[in-house]
Amino acid sequence: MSITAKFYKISDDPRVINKTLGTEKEKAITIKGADSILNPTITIRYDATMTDYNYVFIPEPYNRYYFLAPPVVAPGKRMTWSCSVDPLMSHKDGIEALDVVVTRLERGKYADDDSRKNSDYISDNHAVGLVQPNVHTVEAAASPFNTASDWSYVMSVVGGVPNTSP
Amino acid sequence: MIKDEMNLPLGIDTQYIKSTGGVFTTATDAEILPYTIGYIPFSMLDKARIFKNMGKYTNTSVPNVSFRTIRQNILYEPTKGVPFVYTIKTIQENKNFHGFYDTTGNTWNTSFIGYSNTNLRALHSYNTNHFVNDSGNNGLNVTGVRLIFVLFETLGNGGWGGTSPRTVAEKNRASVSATFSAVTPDIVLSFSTSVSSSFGSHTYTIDNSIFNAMDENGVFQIDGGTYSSGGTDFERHLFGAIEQIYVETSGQNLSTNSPGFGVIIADNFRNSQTLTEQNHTNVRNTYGTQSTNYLVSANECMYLFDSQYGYFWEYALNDVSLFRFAVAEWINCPVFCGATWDDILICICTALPAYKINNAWYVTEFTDDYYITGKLIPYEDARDWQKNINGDTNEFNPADIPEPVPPGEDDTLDQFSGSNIFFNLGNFGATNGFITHWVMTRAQVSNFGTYVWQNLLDFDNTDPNNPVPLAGVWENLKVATKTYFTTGSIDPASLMQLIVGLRFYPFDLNDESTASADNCIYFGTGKFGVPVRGPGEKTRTLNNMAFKLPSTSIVLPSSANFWYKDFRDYEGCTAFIYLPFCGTYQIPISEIVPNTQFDIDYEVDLATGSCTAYVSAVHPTGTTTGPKTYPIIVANGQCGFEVPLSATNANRLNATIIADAQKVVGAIAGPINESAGKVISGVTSAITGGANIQVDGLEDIDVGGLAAASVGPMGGVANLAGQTAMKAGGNLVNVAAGMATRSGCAIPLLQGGRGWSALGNPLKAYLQIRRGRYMYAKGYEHSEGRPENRQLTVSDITGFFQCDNVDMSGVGATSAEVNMIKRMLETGVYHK
Repeated sequence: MSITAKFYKISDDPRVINKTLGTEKEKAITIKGADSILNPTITIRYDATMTDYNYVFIPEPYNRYYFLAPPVVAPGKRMTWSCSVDPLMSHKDGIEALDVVVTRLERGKYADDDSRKNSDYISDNHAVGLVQPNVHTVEAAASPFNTASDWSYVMSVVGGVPNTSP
Repeated sequence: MIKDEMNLPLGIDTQYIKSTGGVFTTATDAEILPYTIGYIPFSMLDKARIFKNMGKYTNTSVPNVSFRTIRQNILYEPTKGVPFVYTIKTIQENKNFHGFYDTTGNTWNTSFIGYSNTNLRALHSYNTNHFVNDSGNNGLNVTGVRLIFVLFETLGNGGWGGTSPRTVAEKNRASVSATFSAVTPDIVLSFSTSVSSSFGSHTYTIDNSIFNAMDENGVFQIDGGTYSSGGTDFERHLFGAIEQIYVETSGQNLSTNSPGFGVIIADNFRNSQTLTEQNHTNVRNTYGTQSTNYLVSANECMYLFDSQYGYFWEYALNDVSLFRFAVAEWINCPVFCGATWDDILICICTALPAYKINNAWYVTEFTDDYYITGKLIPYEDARDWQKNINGDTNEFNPADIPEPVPPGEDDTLDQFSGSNIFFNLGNFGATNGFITHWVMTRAQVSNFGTYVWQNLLDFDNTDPNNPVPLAGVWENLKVATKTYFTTGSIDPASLMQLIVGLRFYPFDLNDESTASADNCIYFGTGKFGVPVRGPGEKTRTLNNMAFKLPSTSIVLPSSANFWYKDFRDYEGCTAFIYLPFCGTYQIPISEIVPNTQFDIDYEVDLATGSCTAYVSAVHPTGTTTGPKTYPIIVANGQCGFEVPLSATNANRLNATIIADAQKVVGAIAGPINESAGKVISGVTSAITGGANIQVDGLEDIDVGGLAAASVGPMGGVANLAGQTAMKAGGNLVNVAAGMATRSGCAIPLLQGGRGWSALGNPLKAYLQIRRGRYMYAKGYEHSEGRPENRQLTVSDITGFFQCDNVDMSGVGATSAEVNMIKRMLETGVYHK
């Protein structure tokens, strides 16, 4: 089966949903008939300029984006790639429409969002702690107790109300 | 929100209003008093916090207007019914300089007094319903008015139309008083003094003629005085202004029946020159054509009279550009004010329904922090009140009763709600007639011991083998006490039983005691006294048995609580508070982070020496229910230390101290070595003084010689025994503490201390926070994210994120792909 595919040079992390597609080049490819839609093997006529391409979009009936393994130059002036599907980019629209419960998030545009205040106080189990703590001491403004100059004694005695009558 | 700060003091002449179902009635004293601390003197008013959130506006077009407040002077009497004085200080800090009202032109002009113009009024009533008005004849008596005038003269070269700069200097300041010979509505004024100032050919006089009587409508005005010009000398000119206005009233409290005071002072607040630095233009204006007659004022100002506290508050606008009207959020003190660019309006109304003033000034919005005079307003009442005022039941949407929210929508509760809790501490617990507590200094204790022991041990040594004790103080005591104790069986040797105890306290009790009859400590029936002070001086007896020490607090700086401003302020943190004589207590970090300070109070039981420390946390504003004070620790300890007076109680004390010390040493550093034991035994023996005793199996020592050798006369033994014990205990415990430190034992916390050794511990409370320290690699947030817990749409997210249990509905992918996507979302992906 011969299809015209679009080859790209991408530099995004594979985990990026909406990847930036770089240099595009269309090429007629041949797909081995028995290959999986998720991991097809494609072949083109040998083209020395195609060795740096690492991403491909295969239209209908595949209609998916694939990561390209390093090409293999095959006998008969052919180049062959093993492809693995990029489900994120392939189903970008569906993923972007998802409402998800986010458990970790890069601040980005949410940094000043008031609704994040409580999130700041969720424990971060990825954080790395030092064994030495910070010791912070705050002293009271004053002491209710005095220094030696103002000490008092209290002697308690039985009776004791002065009676100076004869 | 309701500002539920209790214990607001009652002021005098204050209207207390309660709302029940939107109907306002005057609250009775019985209803108010449970929420107050009673009438308080003027001096305490400085501590009153009476308003919050000034500068709330109903006019949304007014941007960024802020206030600063300056408390004004007022003479204030603490008792209801006593005449009191309101003061409007109109000149202060070169800001507010009030001019005079031109009754001819019916405009407010300047302070200009000139050309024999006798139609200038310095002050007049706002209208017939304001300013010392009792048109309802409800008994509000105005008993006097006093004005302080300041006369200024301009000095400069060139005279009228001359060159700048001119300066304005104070020429004279004098008060003019008036008393009312009758009450409203037929007030007649007569003034006792007049003031005049002149130079050259110019004279400015303020005398009786400037005051007009209040008429039957309650209208009262004060004119500006007369000015006579002697010709063409414009080098110097006089003008005057009112600096202060006192209005004295008596009789009727301000209430709904006495509308109160209102003053308009206008057109005097536009310029910002100072009195001493007037430039030429403004001086010209002062003398000018009256069309742009503005004098000195740094800011637009308005005044607000607080009928609860008897203050005029000045609100000086920091930004006057678009200011039109403002609302003071008071419902406890129904006083409202407003100001415009053109006018300074002082309106004082004591009746809530009269909040609408001049058809423009009114309260339409209560947002938060409401007070009522000395009383907590229940939420429902405040709501009803608000409804009644607004006539709109939909506007008040209290935030302190949050609507239920479904899970997943940030449904956190406020950290605080409910009531403030305050400790009820003070000096109380009267002494009784059975026991008398004498407050003594160390010198007096020493004198006492010397006197007693010298008399007791005064021997007749005629026969060295048979010394005969002479009749001394104890014989006298015996005789004296026989008259009181009918059995007469008290033996001289046990007369020390008359002394119940002698305790040392590390604070001054002089103010907690009352001077006795003379310089003696009396016993029993009071017929016998031991002089411990010099002739003519007086001993002192204790007033109360429970004594509250001065309060203190630990103010929590931001570095002590919100350091990271996230979970790290809590996680891995521990905190301890050390309370002198009570020990160290762990405090949950959650009690520290959100609070501003810990209030610390001590109540001491002077009968036993025990003390209780009370620690309250103070939370700032920031919750929907306002500041909170709540107790977190009540700790017991001992800050009064018994001084042994006899061998018996010395033994008991020493045994206790030593046992404690041994326990500490043993627990921390292992067995005490032999030499340490000898130290203990030696000290112990010295303490016991005059007795051959054995303590806990330690050495027997003949004390007599040691005591004599170490402290001299035996009188000193009694005095110093306790202190020696203190030192002994202190040394031991300190040694123990030092050993604990050096040994690296994980006992860093100070204990309360037992006995006198506790004095070696810090006498100041302190808080110690041990906070975890974290390392975040650069780019941590980009690669790891920060914890989050809320629902978002993926398309709205930027950067790294991680999800939990994603519902993949709507993603048209194969099952394998769905699983891949789900797993990736749950382990972390990026969206740009």
